[in-house]
Amino acid sequence: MASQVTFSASAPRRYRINLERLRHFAPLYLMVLPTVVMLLIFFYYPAINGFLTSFHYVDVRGWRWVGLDNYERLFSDARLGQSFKNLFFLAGFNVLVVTTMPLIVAALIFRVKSTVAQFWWRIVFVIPIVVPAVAIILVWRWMYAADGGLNILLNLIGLGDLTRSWLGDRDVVMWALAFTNFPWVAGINFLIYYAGLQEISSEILDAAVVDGATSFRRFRSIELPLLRPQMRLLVLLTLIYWMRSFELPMIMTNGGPGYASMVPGLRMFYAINRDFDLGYGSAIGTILFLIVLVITLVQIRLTRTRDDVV
Amino acid sequence: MSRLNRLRREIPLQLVLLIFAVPTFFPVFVMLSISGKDFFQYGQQPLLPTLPFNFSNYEVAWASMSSTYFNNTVIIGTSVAVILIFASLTSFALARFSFPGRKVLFYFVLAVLAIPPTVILVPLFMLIVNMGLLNTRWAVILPYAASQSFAILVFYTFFSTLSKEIFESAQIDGAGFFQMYIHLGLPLARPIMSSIGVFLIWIQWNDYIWPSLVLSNPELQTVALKLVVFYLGRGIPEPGQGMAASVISSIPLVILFLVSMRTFIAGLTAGAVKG
Amino acid sequence: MNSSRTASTRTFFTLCILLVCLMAAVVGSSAQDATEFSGELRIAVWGQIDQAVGRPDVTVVHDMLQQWQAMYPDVQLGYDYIGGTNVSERFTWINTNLLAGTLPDVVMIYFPGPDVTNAVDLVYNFADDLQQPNPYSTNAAWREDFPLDGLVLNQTQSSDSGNRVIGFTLSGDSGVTTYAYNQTIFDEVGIEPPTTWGEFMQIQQTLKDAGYTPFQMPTAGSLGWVWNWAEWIIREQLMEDVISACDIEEPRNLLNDKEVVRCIATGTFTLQDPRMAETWELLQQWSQYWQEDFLAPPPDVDLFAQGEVAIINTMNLWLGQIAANPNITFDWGTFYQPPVTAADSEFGNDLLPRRVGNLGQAGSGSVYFFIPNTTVDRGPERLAMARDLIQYVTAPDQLAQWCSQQPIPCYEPGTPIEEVYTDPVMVERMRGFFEPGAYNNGGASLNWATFDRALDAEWSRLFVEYMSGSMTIEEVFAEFQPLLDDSVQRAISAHPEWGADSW
Repeated sequence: MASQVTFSASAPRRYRINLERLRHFAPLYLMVLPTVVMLLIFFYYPAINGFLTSFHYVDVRGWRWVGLDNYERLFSDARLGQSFKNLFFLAGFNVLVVTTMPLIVAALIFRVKSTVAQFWWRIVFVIPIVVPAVAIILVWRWMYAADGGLNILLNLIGLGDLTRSWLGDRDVVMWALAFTNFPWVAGINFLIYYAGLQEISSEILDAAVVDGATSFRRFRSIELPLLRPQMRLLVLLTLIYWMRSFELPMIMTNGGPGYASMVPGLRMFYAINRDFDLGYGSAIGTILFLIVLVITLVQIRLTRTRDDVV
Repeated sequence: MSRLNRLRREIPLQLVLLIFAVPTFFPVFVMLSISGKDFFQYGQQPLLPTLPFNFSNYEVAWASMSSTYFNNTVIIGTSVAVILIFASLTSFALARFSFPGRKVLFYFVLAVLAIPPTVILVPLFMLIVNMGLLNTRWAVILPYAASQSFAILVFYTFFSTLSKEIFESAQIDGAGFFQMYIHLGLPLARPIMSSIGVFLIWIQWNDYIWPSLVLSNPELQTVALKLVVFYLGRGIPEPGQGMAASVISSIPLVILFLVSMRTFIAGLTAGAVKG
Repeated sequence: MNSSRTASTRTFFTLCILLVCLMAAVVGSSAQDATEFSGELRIAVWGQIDQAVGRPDVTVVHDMLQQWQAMYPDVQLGYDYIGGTNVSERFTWINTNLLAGTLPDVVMIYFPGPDVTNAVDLVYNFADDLQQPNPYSTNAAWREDFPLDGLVLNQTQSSDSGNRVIGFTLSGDSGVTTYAYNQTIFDEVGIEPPTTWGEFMQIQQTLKDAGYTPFQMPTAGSLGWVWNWAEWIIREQLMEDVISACDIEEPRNLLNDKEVVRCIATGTFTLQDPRMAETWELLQQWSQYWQEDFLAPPPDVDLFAQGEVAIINTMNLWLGQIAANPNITFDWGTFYQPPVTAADSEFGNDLLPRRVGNLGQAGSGSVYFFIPNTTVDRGPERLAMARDLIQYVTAPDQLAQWCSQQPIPCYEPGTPIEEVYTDPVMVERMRGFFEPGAYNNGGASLNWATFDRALDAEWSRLFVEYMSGSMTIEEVFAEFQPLLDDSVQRAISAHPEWGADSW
């Protein structure tokens, strides 16, 4: 990607540990030191500690080594299996959404001729993100309530038969969660596609126009292939986001009714914040970490062809 | 004339965009509409705006939410300042100079990106408890300030694209590493710094889970946390007050957005691509 | 180059100065000086007791703490808010701080959760102090300061057979066995408060036919625990004989954790008892009268205040909130949960449900004080201060002050309601808190909530699974039984002093 700029005249040569050299580079180490210390304390130490905690039973009296007990519990916990299913549903659904809706809108905006209009359309679809995510979730919670927005709208257009308790009906609650934020355009995702579109050289596009390609063909044969890196990135980000976040079910339904909308992250949160079951919570955390790690490694493998960062 | 024609030809396109925009803004509309309703107005017409607009909802909500603005300013201000200073220092050192251990340090810093914050929730919580920081602003500031990897990645990419000539001439002038950072790195990085800053502000403003674990003192709570506590935790629920609190929770970001529209968008794009 | 150099220097230093300022703002300021009682004393409080609306049970305590503070101006009395938005999160907060040794000097909560009763060795034992006089009282011993049996706490005895007294409460509380009703709606459809379970269901049918939502049952949100209590209350009502069989230790009428664990371990209490299933079926039948979306999170608006819902749960702690709600303009009254008769169920036994919480015992839902052992470690002065504060709050004068401002004044058990209230409106409103007479039933706790919260959370989720029709009672109990067995085994191994081998 970026050509590496080295200060030293003889960059590739191997260094021997050499006191004078170290002294020469001392300011550089000092510059890096605060970050390293902070990462050690607030990321590496907790990560290792969490891994160790998952092999313990923790209560008010202290820690007790229990080996793989927490993991046994985890794998024999049918409810946790259900919550992983819910998680994969949400993640899968959102991958589907993120590869379509924001892309369509970005491509549409890109087709608007006036750059001023383009700018303002962009603003329109970005501005809703200034509302904090939890506020949006609370509004959607109201939308799904028995006397809430969705049922009001359905009654208004004469579809009163379809009204229901969207969050109290176990058959629809996951769909209700998935449809939160409909039409899923607002925010960063469409900006990334849009930035990708802007990078496509105008010569290619002009050539397409001269060839008389229709708008749709231009999209399918030029823009879509060239946006593949953005799409891959968004799929990765979406997957990781859903593996690690649980605010939506937490604020919307508390994972209910029953276990119908439970996800592993929320179960982990309850393990620490409600049940004081730190060992079990850490075990769930470790499993989630492994999943994220696998996703990331797959992604790195898929993008091997791209330039290495370093 | 042709301009008018072009506009006319674009009408269907604009309409389609409008169809997407309406549901996108529906939650915001709902928030504003309900926030002006008193108990009985809500009972009669829960959706469409009603008159008179009942500002007392905002008074009640503000009484709860007011302290959160200060808390967010202190928490986010401190942690973003820390991140901008130390992340830029680190990435400047890593991107511009090769020195023993550089590669190891680089991977050490970036590997953190693979650790999702949720995963270290439990041990980080215990760490904060053991440090005696539960229920202090530090409990939020320190972990936030340590979340530098994304900023480092953006800074790194930026610094490594700079041409090496200017650095060579500075080196000939006899400038040390730190002087080069101050006099070359920082000024060049200023635009990207504000983009990163805006993105970090947005991320931290939105964070709910971590503060909810460590900030139980109502006087220290952050905007997102207090909003949920206020909305869901009241004995006598009043939808108007809840929505008013939601509006209040968005106002500072609306202002930030309006004064720095382009930076904001640049920051979000950069942030998403790297984060 | 030169100008950009200064500009960038400025940028850097501006950032640094900003950082320093913000850090200073975080640190804040603190200073203190000293005399007789001096220094800092921290008290953990349930919420913002200085700003609670319609909650005289805690605001009066705040007043009393302020009075104590006024006597000792050299003491810096600081408040720490117990975290969380619901009961379990607050228990966790206490648990975490107990574990980390960071719990404030005095803790004020509604009732000591499992974290305290399971860890009595981490909490200060008042047994000896109670034999000594309270400096704020004229009684010979502090113990005598608790005269109104049933309204004011005696003691909490833990299940470690050490008869420790680990804390004090100020209030009894009639849990959720009392219901508030909209008098206007009752008059309109021509119904009276019920005297049997069957009548209770009947009037709700009448209300439903008239187009009202008969009952609002909170099943999620901050009051999500209420329906667990409903289940637990009926269970105890039907299984009175099991409670008696399990109640083997003093004090009688209260099952401590040891008794409950023993009861389950020896099979005296079992899920196979047909009355367990009957309890769930009664609730299932009742649920047809609950708000239509009772499985969803609670509505954003108070449907009782809107006049849509006719009956809701209440308890004396919440009375202020109904009374202080400006949106409630209609007349309202209360009634006590009626007994299940033989006509209502094959297991009906005509017994009034047990009043949940009363004697100030663990689980009573009362304002409760205890001192963690870490306060003792912080030096004798600190402990003396903490104890003095509690002694002041529990002295007769302060109890009288507290009683005088509660929605239900303190009264001798058995006093007829007409002697307590002269206003007929109040008689109607408060009847549900007096009808069963004295606080005579005890808080029994045939329940695992006090020794395993996670298990209880599991139980309530399974209950929802049943109520939403996705599992049968048999399936639920089959899934729960091994969890219950595990939990009981964990409790037994954590308490060798129980001598479980000899059960």
